[in-house]
Amino acid sequence: MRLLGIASIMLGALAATGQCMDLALPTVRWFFDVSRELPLSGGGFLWFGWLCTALLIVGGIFLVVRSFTAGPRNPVTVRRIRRFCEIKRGYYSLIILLALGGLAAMDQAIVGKRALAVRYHGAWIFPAFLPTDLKNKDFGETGETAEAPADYRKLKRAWETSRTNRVILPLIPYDPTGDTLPPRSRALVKRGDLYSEGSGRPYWGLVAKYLDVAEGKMHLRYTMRNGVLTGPVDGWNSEGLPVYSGEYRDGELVSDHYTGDGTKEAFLSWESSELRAVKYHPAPPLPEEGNWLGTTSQGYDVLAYLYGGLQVNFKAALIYLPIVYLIGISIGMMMGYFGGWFDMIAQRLIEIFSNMPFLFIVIIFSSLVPDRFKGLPVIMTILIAFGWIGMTYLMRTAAYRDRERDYISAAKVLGASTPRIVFRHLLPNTIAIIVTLIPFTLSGLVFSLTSLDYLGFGLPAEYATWGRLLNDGLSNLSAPWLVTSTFIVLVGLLVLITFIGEAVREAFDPKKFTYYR
Amino acid sequence: MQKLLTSLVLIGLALTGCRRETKDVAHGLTFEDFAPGYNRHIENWLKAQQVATEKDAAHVEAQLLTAVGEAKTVLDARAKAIRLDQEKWRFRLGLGDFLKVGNPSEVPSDLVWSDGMNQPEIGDPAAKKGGVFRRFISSFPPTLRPFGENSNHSFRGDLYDYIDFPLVTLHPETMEIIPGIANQWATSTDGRTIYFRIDPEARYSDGVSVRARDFLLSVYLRVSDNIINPYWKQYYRENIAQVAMYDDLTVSISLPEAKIYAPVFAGAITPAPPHFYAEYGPDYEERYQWRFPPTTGAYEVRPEDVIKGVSITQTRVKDWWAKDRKYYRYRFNPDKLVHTVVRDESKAFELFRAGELDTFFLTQPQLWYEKSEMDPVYKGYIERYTFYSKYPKVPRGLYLNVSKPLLADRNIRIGIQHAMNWQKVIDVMFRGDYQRLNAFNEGYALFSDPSIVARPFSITAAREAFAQSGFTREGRDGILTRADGTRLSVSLTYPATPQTDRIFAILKEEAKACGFEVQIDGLEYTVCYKKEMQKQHEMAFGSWLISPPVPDFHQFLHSSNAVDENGHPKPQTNNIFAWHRADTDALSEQVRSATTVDQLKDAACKLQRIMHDEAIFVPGYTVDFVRIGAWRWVKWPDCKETRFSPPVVYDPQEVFVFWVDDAVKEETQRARRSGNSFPEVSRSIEDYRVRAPESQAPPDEQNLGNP
Repeated sequence: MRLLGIASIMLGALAATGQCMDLALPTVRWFFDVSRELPLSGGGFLWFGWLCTALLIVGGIFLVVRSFTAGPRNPVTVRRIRRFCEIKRGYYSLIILLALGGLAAMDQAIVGKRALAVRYHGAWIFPAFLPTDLKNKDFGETGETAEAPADYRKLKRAWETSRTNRVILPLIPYDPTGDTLPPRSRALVKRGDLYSEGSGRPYWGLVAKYLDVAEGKMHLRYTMRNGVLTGPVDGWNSEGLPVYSGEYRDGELVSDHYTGDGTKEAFLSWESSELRAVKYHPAPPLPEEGNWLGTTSQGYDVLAYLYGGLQVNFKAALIYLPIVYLIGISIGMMMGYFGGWFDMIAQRLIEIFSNMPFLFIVIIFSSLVPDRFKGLPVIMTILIAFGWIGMTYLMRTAAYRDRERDYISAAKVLGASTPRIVFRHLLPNTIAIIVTLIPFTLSGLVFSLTSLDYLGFGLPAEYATWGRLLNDGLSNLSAPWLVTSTFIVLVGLLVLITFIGEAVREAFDPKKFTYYR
Repeated sequence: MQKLLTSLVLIGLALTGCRRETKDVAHGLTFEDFAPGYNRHIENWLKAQQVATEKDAAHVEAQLLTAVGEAKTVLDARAKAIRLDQEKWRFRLGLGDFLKVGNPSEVPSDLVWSDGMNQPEIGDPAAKKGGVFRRFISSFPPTLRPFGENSNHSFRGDLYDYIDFPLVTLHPETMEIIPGIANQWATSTDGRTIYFRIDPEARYSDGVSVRARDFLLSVYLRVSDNIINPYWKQYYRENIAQVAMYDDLTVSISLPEAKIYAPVFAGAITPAPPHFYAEYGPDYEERYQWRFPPTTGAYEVRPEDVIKGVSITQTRVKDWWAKDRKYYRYRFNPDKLVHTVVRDESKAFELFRAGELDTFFLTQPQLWYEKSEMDPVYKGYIERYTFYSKYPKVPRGLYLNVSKPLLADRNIRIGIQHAMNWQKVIDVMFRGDYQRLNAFNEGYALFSDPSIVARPFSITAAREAFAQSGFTREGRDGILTRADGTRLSVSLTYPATPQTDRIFAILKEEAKACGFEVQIDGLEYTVCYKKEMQKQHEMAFGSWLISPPVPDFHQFLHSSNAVDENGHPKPQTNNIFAWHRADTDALSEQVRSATTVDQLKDAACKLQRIMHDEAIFVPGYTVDFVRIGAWRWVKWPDCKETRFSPPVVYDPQEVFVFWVDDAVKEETQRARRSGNSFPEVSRSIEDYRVRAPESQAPPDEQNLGNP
């Protein structure tokens, strides 16, 4: 608890620092970013951001103080925690999950297209942590791209041999979304007269000579059959305009036609790369190019995209769980404790809610909301509106059962007020149920979010989501790396959560051994 | 009691607001009874229009007395248009009956008749008749009727538009008029009436001869109140002045005003066999739902060949009357055309790969570069062709609604032109195959200005243009703002499909570098269309193509389609730009009413130039070829007159110049069984390709290699 408190204080402090010093620190910048973007939650003062910061700091202080002032720990709780740690499968899953959470929190420090540090003419700049983008002209570029946001990958390539300038990029130098890569390529190996990709079989498909490999600017593009040039050839000039076309047969040029400036021979002899296999999007995994898991149909790097999806899942979980549990627990307990008319009306309302077809309502809402407002808040609202119901059933039963117990009657007799009874006596006894349910609610959330995104009714394309990648992969089964990678991470995450859930359930079981008669 | 009931019913009917159109024409009449009533109806309409125009004229005259400067020019143009209209009404009222039955003496004797036989042949003499051609359609048509409810579906092209014979038609290469059902035609001296002589041998597929009366009947069927068809009613009322017959084989069609290609517009009518429509009545739509009328074209649909929900087969008409005529004798070769319903395109591709379908469109890069890299292609069983056509380019791009605040400023529009990186879309999504479109209504052989070049993507030029409009400060998120806080942010409405979503994600990303925010507004197709028709969009992605030979600008630019009386944008018109200006009004009217090619060309090119200068249309991408995969038994022309296909076609299969060679089919099936292969065929037919002239571009613009 103390650790938790201290962590909370630190987070709050970081958020405040980031805001005051105008830095964009990973993860903690989210509070103020939301404040700026969402209508009503900002204004000149950005009250939402400061509110969250205040809550974090105050909450942290409270926890720390409590860790000192509270008495010895509840033996039941101690036993439960110890039992949990004994179940190695769940324990390690929790560690891995927390590690993943930490990874996701590192945000632009490990995945992003903005450089971590740049040394330009001796001065160090840290673009990843600046609130605004720097432009190419700030690094000495002139001409057409001067006003464009700085392309750090290009700068790194350009400054490869420089002694005074350096660029340090994050581990995965691509943004999850909004970072369309130029078409990819892979070097070909020549064996005798035949070209192949390296695995031995001669190459069938498109090959090209590039003017600029990293930018995907082609000079000449050929068709290759069985390792030999056969088929149409196209050529482009330096401005990207098609100026050359021709035909090859069995490696020999049969006919060609040139419509650009200068002579055909001069054009053909321009300096360009060796023959490379052209890999249009979705491109397969090309570790030598930096795309460890390939690219999506849109041109985003798959590894970065998966990371973005992980972040979205965690964000959604951190918003969804507290709110859903808050609403569900309070309403459920009130229903159970008060009973009578309140219970009856609330139950009827819940029945109505639960009979509404979830998917249809989501689809309708999704189509009503204009694209401009679509985002995490809207989807979360819909999911929360349907998610709190599940909690109420359990809490209601627990409250009903405990209401009749002697200790509640004793508390009443002693003159305890209703809130005190509910929060001090009832709630702690139902913690077991709540805690056990958390992992399964979480896996349900991940699953619903993925399904919605798969159908296209979830988050807009600016968010990297696994569901969208799954959809992409299933419509491009000739690019199996898309489905495979998404499947593995999705199943992996859900398995981790399920292991934790199982371990928690066993740990919170009042009986150490359960017999079935 | 009964009187009360009747009067109540009548009051009820009156209150339901019967359209005024039905007042003159009653239900369930046969043609003889119908014609006088309809003629009266048209006459009354013309008179009403005349009265309205007179009022308008008086109004404009009054205003002209006090107008000065810009307003005066607008009013002058308006007055001129009104005078033309008045003349039109006078002419039409002077013609007499709309559906006229005359006698041969009324045909002028000094007419100069053309027979259009001097055009080059279409197709290859080596074509063999016979064989079965199999295609797929993605959904079964809702009806086989040529008109009436739901008849405007995607299959009607195959059933009627490509096959039925109108009076005259256009040669798909030279765009000159060639005979159809009419073997001779002549234009009256005032250029408004075209006389047609019907070919005496013209027959329907059941052997009945075509008579002049069939054309009047055809009009009747479409405009009577037995069917709900506002399009045809309006078309005949406004675009045709008279349909007359003089004897069994002579027909004349009059247009309200003279225009070029008048015989084509007039002669677009197809005859209706009277014996088939003997049961025509108010229940036409149910009764004739699945009946295919006897046709003058080469293919008919027999009742046993319609398997609902599964397939439709068209059979070549035995002893087709035009089978030895020039322009048609080497066409319409397969004996049977089988269209099978396959809903999923990937499944259709697999059927093609297996040899169950004969051709497949491979224009999409994923299909051409990936899916069709398969064994049947490598072994030469399936041949691949890239055919460069001369069809007008679909104006695919962004239509800017100039009635919206930011877009009313020309500088911002020019900035937007420079901020859209279509070239990146072409390179990344379309593998560099497609090309940048350069202008609106580009690609009409005679009527487009080839010197207009689209503004390229340029961050500096975009920012300069935006700066001219006051957008100089860059906000925290990289988007430009004015001093008063207005953000440079415009919404882009488009019908959401996976492909368009990707295109606009790329454009949005690239626009951000120019400080311009594109708010993506992807909607379901009908919702998107509705929004555009209500003119609620800011930028809309669209593509309205007008078929050749003549472009149209009126529907897109005329002020009558832009604003209503109160100055609000007018809904339900194609003026997506909400554009209205006096000079474009005059020019677009000139395009419509031009009587010579030069007049039309002048006006059309000027309008294209204005649209470019005012930057109201952001040209997107265009494809100037069609890529087809075909099994090797499908043969294509390869002779002097026609190489692969005539050039002015959207789809080479629509002119039916190909044929199926059964001997080659046998050979191929044997080879598939035994594993033999043929050389791979991947041909590119560039004979008709339109390339930009080498160095025509002015020195201050980039030199382009291709349009």
